[in-house]
Amino acid sequence: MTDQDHSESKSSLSEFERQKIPDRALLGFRHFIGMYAGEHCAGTELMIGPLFVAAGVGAFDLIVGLLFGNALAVLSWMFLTAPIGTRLRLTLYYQLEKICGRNLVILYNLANGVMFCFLAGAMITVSATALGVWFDFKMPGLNDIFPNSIGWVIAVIVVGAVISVVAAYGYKTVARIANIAAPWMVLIFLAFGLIGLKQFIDADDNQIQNAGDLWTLARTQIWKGGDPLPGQVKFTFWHVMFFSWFCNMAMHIGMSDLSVFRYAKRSWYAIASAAGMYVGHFMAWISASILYAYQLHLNPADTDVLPGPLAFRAAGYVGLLCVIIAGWTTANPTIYRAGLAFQAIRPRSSLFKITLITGGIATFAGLFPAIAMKLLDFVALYGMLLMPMGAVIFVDYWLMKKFNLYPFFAEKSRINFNWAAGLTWFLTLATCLLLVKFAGIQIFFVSLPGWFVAAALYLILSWGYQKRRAFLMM
Amino acid sequence: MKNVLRKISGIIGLASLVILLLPSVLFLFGDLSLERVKWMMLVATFFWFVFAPLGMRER
Repeated sequence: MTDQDHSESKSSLSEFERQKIPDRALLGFRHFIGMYAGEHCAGTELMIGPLFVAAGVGAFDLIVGLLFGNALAVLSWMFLTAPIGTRLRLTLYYQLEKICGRNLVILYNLANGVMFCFLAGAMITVSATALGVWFDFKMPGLNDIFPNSIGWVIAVIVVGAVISVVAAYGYKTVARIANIAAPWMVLIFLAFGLIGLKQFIDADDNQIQNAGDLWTLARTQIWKGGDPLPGQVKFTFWHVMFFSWFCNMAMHIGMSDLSVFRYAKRSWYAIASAAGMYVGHFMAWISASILYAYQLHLNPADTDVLPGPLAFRAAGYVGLLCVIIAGWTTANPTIYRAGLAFQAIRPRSSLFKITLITGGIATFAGLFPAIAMKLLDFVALYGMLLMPMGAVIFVDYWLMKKFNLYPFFAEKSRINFNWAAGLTWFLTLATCLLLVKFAGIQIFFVSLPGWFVAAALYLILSWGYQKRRAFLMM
Repeated sequence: MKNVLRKISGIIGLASLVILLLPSVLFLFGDLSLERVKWMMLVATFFWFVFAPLGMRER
């Protein structure tokens, strides 16, 4: 996934932070294909695929749910993010500052930075499971919340320390390694799937003569459906579809990728996100899920979701290397970006120190396996947290003038905190949490009604707020 | 001369990607043992990480 951490391609896009992109800096379609294909094949895919199986997903629900959900994600990039990105050509943060004011953007950065820390923590957890195969210490189980062995604690601290120091010192070097590793990693993920499939075929001496036989194997032995494992939520077609649609919600509906598409010559270039979705969030998830389903097939009591042992069983030391590199190369920019988000709050602080501290927080988070083991819920929460600001940006651009209201109100009225946007954010989150808590809507679905709540709230609150400010300014 | 070496590196890099995936395909069709697959992938990985950076530098 993950998305949410963008590699060098994106970091190199960090200029023109407070101005429109000039024509000479616009990028071609191929650039976006490479960027999306590379960044959505990450360490966390090795957790998400198996967690689908742990959630008792069926073959049809998984395959068709992923096809539709990823298509909806691509359409969200194409019709929500890119049209605004290519028209205004501003970074997300600069645009938010114009709408919300500097202080609200600081709050947004804080929320974003904290979520990045947890995400990087999950990636450190993934990499540490590879060390567990080498050094044979006890690793956490599917429902473990706390670290369960000294070996695990040491492995996470070592991995986290290395990643943090490298993020603080040599981010660009690792970003370069990430670019080199990307095509290799995609093929390793594909190999995982092919090897896992063959292991399934051989396990019960199945005869595969045609596509029908393959489908029978898929639905009767790999993704059998039925009850989820203890402690997991049952995943249906709708869960898979909404999860794959919303797992990068912060990027498309949440509008983070405005900063990316401001460089696109045409808004349809957002279709390039399909490369990331169908490589990382289709093929890689399916491959990783096959490895875990095979582990359960061999021993139904072995429910541990540990990418290291899974990858080692399929591809030996190359598998372990893939787990380490996938976790490392994605945790690194995530920590770096979290550091940038925190530095925006205290601009005079050294980025080096802030990145180290951020890495320390991520490492501490990585000690707790609950974050990685509950990654499906965490990713849904992450999207939900940032979604309201995406709705604010959408309404501000497309609807404000139609309702005789001012877009970019913070800039226009020179305020540091646009209460209409701030209250929209807080009230939408409160509404979503109430819906989850009392209306029985699961967190995987709540962001859809949440977006409409946010859009309506921003219009209504802006109407009252702008009228009041206009009265005060008179 | 440097350009020729870089082009050769690029070709070896691409070939190593083919060798990386091919064993798992052969394994799926029962033409290769898993142990051999793992070794071939390891060798292909070594070649990729040695030659791909040299080949990519050209671009």
